[in-house]
Amino acid sequence: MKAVASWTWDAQDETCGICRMTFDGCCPDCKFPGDDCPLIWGACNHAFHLHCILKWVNSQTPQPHCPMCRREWQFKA
Amino acid sequence: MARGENQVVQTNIHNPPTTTVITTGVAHRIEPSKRVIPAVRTIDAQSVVKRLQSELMALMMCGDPGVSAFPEGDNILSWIGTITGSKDTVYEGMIFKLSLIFTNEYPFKPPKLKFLSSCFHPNVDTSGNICLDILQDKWSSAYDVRTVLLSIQSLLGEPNNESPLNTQAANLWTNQPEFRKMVVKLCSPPIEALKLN
Amino acid sequence: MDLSALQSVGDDFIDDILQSWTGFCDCTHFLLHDSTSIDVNPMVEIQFASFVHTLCKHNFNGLLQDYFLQALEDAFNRNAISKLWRDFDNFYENNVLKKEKDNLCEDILQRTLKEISLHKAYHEKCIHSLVCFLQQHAQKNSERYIFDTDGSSILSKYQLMVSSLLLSSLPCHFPDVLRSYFDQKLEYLSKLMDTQCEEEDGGKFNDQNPVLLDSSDVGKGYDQSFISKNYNLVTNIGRVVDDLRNLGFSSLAEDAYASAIFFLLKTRVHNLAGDDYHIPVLKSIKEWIQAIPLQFLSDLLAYLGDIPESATDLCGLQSPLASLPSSVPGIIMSEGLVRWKLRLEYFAYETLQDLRIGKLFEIIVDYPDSCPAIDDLKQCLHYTGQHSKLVNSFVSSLRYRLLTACASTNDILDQYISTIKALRTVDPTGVFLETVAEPVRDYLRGRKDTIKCIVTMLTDGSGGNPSGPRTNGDSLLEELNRDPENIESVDYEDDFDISIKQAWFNAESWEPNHVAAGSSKGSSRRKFDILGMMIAIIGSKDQLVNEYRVMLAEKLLNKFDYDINSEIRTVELLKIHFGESNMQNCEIMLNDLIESKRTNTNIKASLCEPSQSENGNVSLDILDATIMSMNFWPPVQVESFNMPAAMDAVLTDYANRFHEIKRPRKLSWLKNHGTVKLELQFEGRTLQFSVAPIHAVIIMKFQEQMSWSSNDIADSIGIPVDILNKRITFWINKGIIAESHAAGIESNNHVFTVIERTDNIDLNDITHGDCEDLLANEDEHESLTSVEDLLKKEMGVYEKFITGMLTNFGTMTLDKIHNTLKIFCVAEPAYDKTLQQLQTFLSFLVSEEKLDFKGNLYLLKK
Repeated sequence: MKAVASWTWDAQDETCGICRMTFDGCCPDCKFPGDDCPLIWGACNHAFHLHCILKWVNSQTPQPHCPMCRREWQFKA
Repeated sequence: MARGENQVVQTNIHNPPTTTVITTGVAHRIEPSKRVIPAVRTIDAQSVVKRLQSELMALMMCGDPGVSAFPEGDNILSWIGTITGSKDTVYEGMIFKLSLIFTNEYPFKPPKLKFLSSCFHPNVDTSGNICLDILQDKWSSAYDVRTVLLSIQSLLGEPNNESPLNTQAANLWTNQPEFRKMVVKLCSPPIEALKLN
Repeated sequence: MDLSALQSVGDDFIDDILQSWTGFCDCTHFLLHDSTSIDVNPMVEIQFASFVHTLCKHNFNGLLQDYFLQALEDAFNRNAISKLWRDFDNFYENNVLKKEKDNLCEDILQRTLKEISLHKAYHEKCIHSLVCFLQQHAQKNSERYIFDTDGSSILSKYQLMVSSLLLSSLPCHFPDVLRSYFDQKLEYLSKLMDTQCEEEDGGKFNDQNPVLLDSSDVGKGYDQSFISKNYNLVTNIGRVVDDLRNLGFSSLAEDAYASAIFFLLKTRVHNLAGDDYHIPVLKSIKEWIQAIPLQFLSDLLAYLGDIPESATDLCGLQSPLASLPSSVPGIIMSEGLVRWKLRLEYFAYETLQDLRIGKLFEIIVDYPDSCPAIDDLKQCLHYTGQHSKLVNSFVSSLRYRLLTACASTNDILDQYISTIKALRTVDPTGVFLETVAEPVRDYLRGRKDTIKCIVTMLTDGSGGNPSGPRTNGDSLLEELNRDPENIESVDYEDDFDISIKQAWFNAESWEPNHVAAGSSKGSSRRKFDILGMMIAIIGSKDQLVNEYRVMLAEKLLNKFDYDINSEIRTVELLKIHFGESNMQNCEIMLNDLIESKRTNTNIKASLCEPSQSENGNVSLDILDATIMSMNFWPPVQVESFNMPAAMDAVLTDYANRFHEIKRPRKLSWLKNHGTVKLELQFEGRTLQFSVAPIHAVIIMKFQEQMSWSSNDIADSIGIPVDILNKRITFWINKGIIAESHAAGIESNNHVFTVIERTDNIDLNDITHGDCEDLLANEDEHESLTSVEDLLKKEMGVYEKFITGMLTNFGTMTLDKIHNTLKIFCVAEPAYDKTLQQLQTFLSFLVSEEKLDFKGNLYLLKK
């Protein structure tokens, strides 16, 4: 039997707050969604494309905040 | 792709990121900056263009009555914005034009905003420069054109008189009827140069 | 003159004059009475001389000349014409009309001409005598009356008279007889040549060994000295022509042999060209012209003495044959001959061209085997310039034969592609192609399956037409990639002049979507982009890409395995033509299949760890999954229904394992998609099926009980009854389930029962049935948004953009709005309207009082 399914990220929001692309799509720098362009959660439970949040975190000195809630950004364990 | 776009739109309608952002309005004196229109270049620019395109689409589709913006000429990094003064404020019914200039680092760096219409307001100087924290150190990449314009719209009604750019306006703020008179007197209709054809 | 002569004459001379005049008249009549004699009677001549002499003395030479000419005319009329033509008529009616025309024409013609010439020759002798006497007289009196010494004036008067008499009394069939004569002679000549040729090079018309022949100083393929050997023939014809010329019939004669030659040439062209489009014929025709008609003409003109001793150099005259050996050894090209050559060649080009144009439809059906015919046609048109003839004729045959309800869309597309290929050979400017393509394009736009056929043709080797001629398994796309189109396009860049270039640009500039061509403009602009022509049918590249994406999705979802090599190849090719970004979604879809395969393997690998596979006897092994990134696939219809518990458990298990491996990604099933392979066991027989999941679910219900009412089974599966009824037909058609009406109550409620005995099932039907049903199933998924909905959606988006820009800019012109939409309205639905369409839409918004229009500016209505 060959079945058909679709996958989604198990996230509350549908779009990345940084790039505005859907989570199930990929960030503007990626070609393929899914494993190639993973999601990452912050301690505050906000999710972003890994590539997007990394760019944001790197642009924030000295202390990065979550773009959504301004909590200090920490990757969720 | 249509699906994806629609989801973006819906997210913005039902879940505006503004709900999680607090407008603080801490004023700073800032240098009047000239309008510099950056050119789109490098591969990095691609993601800026993508993001701005999706913002434009979302902005057009949501049809928020008080704020609007549209890219100017053929450069998606340079927009013209329009804000209507909110009801029950001294700015009620007034229309203000702004320019929004984005860089290739957007949304990791804020856009440069400036009033094109003259605006009598404690946190706006005579050249149109705006003092608003979220456009400086409190910037978040979750902001977009719409939320920035909404923030400015609310700044109009709730100025930060602690660190004014326009002290006369700051001083007059307590006298609302007089302030309204000044606003009406000084706030000109859209500048002629904006009638782009 | 004569009257004054009479006045100066004295009475005593009058008798003398009258006597001489009477004598002169008698002599004249005597002389001319019987013009069949060869020589002038000397006795009469002496008398005649003296009368002439006397009359001249009295200055009556003018009068006597006039009289003599009149007498000649009477005599010629009486003796030659009435009799001869009567004979000619009789002969013609008695013999020629009956049949045997060919052999007798020569006889009658020669006989007639001979007789007329005899008469004429005798008359001329008489004139000659008269002229002699007149001259003698003039010399004697050495002056006073100046007479044109050679008598050419009277001779030419005579000749004029003869030819006008002959022409005015010419029997109506004389030209026919003349034609037949030349036809027959030339045919004979050409037959001789052909047989000689066959003898020489074993039946081959074309000479394959020019070196050998050149060394022996022989013309191309034909022994030019051969005609000389048949000199008799030429002499025979030459004599006839010569006679005719003497009678003042030069143009009649030339017309006759010219039309005979043209007729021969036409027949030749038709014979050579015929209905065989696989060999080039133009060269043979030219060689033939050189070898037969030109050689003949050369000999004829030489016989007639028309060719000057030292023929003029030909360099000044540009022959269309310049590329070929224009000076065949042995033929001296006089100016007249070159003119003939040009005429003949032009006629040949035109004839061949007309022939080919008349059959262009068949020729293009035959493409590319018919390339030689197309090359010939191209050369012909190059000289005749009658491209418009081609366009008119071809367009009408397209309308009549191709653009009809009975032609399949695939056939039309095949012919369309061949037409593009063929016409770009014929007309590199593409102007005519554009005219021809337009009706086909318009017609195809009216067909619903056009896009689908085009996409299938592009991507499948079969051209969507399994029985079609293209069986080599190559898709049109691959063929296009192999085509060295770019090189070609560079080649004919310099060939045509500016006006045609301009026309080409004009013709192209209204092609839809040329703006979207974007960066690839430079290279793709000029070439005959078959793909571009196909896109022009569909309307836009996006539509084609979209259609391909839908088809690809369908194909991928129906795959039982993960083999996508051919799809990967197609997408790679499409990327070359449409750009990577346009194919991004398709790539992601393919990547999903690759990922699915990997994930599927990983999930199976995790199976060796003990898990809860104990529910029932169904294990994960039986399940493979295609896992989609939904956002990048075309909209997929989702139907849900209740799976049998065992199947459901397997699916849940799979989804859980996916979640474990791919956390935090999760998986949701699209139950109505996929394929189930089933084995149905009946008494003594098992049958295998490959079906859609819903069919599997239905048939599995019959494991529980042999018979279901439609309402019950629909409830049990969790689908509406009407859908169930539709789906279950699959099994009814297979003869697995029988349908009967439940006793009375609801007409909608049927009872379905499994047929245990399968004896009367046609097995062929079963083996064929399954995939067709999968497709049928898929057809329903295709119910995408209708065109109207799409348009509404589009217009809604545009309206918002227009409102947005006017809010910020105040007022804008039509152009400005159009350009701004083009630049910024790029996501789906991207702005692709024309200025006119936008104007209509804006007027609509004005009428709805949403916009104002002042001067040439649009603004928002306050």
